[in-house]
Amino acid sequence: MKIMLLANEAPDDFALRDNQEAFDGYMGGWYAYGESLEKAGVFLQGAALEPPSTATVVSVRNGTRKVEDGPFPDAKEQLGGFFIIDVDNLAEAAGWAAKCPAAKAGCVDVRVIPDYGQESAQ
Amino acid sequence: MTDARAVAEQTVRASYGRLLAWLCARTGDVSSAEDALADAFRAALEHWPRTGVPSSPEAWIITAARRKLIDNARRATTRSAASSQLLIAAEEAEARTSSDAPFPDERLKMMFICAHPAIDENVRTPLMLQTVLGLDAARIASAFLTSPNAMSARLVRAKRKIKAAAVPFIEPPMEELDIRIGAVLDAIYAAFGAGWDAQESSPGGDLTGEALFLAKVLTDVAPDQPEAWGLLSLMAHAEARRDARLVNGAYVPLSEQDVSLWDHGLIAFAENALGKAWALKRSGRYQLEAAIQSAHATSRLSGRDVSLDIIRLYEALLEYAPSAGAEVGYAAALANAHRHKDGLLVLDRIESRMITTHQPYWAVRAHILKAIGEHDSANAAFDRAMGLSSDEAVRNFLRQRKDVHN
Amino acid sequence: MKYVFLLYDDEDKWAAMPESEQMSIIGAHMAYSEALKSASAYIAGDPLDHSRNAKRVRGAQVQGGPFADGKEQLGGFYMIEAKNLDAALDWAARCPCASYGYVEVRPVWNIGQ
Repeated sequence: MKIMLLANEAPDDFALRDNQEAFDGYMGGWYAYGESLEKAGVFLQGAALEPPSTATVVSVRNGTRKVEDGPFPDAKEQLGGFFIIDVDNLAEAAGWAAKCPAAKAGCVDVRVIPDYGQESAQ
Repeated sequence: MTDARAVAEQTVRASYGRLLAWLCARTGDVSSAEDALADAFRAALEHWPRTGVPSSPEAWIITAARRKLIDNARRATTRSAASSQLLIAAEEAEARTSSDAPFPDERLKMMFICAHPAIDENVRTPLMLQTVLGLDAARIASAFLTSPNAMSARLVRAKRKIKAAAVPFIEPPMEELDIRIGAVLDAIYAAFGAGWDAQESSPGGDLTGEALFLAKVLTDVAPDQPEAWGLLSLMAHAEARRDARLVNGAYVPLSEQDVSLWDHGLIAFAENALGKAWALKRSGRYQLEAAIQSAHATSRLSGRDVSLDIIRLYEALLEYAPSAGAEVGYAAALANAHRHKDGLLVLDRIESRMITTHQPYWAVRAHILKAIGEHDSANAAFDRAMGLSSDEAVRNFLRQRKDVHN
Repeated sequence: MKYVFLLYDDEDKWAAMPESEQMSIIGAHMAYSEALKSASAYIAGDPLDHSRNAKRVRGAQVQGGPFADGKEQLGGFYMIEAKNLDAALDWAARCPCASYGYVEVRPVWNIGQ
């Protein structure tokens, strides 16, 4: 089954991206995780995301397009990256989620990708 | 050599906006460009007194800034691979400066980016003041009644977004131009209004001069935009009456102002700008607001009754840009033409949630109610208006009006 | 430049839609994906199952979904290639989700070498 892992990071973790000393350690954790997904043959797709302050919201109502800075969700932890993996069951997916660096100080969401017969994410 | 230092400082003041915009347009990175330009200016102030002022001071500064950008790109932080793009852009800038072509004015693109819909509305005006005018965050913060730290944080966030999300440094496509120019104008007008109430309590606390300058820059770089001329005219009219508005600490409404205290040169400038707008034959909100101010000024100076003109202008304004403020102005215009009941009807149709803290609504309502003899309701409205005024002089004026018995 | 679109919509509203309307929206998404591919902008994209089937892992704990506080939940994503934010926003506006929900456009972080 295809699963989307959403890595939600605490503000302190986002801050490490700008920290010269801590950066290598921070990235090391992510590279190691990505490698382990690949070695296990479950990795399909993944990307790190710029912080939420760089996000923009788009909606269209009555044919009119609205573009705004945002969104501004209340939660302390925010999406910092995601992985798409191919696993046998939800338990295996949760296992991978627990190994994700974000699971320590933040949290990792496990979402099922339903199979409508659509093309898989490359 | 104090001359060299003076030239350096003058170059800074006069060309900051243009040089920064030029660098930003090429690197897409406002923060790096600001830092590089600041370093270049420091270098100029250090070197020119010794070496003399170069024949092309701006080219010298841009070259120094470019070198700084390349240096920073080479010592790239771990954060982003865009550093290599920065390097390429900086080298491209080098190729540019080795020719003797003058620097194109990219400030219009800078203003469009500051007012881009993806940029938080609350930071558009501050960003424009900082990048086009070089104002420091502390000065901007005090005009917007925020702490310098909060303002700096907002500005940093916005600039980071521009770089990280690649908000483009371009003029918007034709079909979006009017809306996008509108956002630029709104941001400039917000600067004009910022600290307006604080005019007398903290001189220099407002940004009216800076807003006027921004509007002037806009008409320079976008002379075919009638609304830009409209905004310039509107602000110039308001500014021209500044000295008559507050006399001996007392607020004086336009109808009672001493016109000899008006800046007639600025009024002529405002009329000229409005003429340029009309010549472009595309009406809009700011042109109509300027026309209203122009009519008020004409009325005082010529004695002509323009109340019908003003009513028509408000009706047009409400078509273009309906707002609670415009409705209130319309009601006042009707009252001035002795159509008090009509004015009251206009006020009544404004949604109540829009006017709970809208001081002008209550002030106009109070005047109308008093004029038609509804003294109890008038007094309540006066009290409400006073409670919503942040300016002591305005409160005093309202109190006096409330107490006057016809 | 790579951008990720996070598609948010009201799951209750979706569930209340007649099947014909749901099918029509799914069809619109397929057409949209094709348009992205034809423009060489498509990198990835998938719908997500109902948030009640989601899990949240925090350390050793596992919670059941849904988790977002608002009435809109994450229902799918796209990853696209676009020249700059304006181009990405143009694509986001074409996404069917922008019309019945909203699309969050987040730039992908290009980590330095």
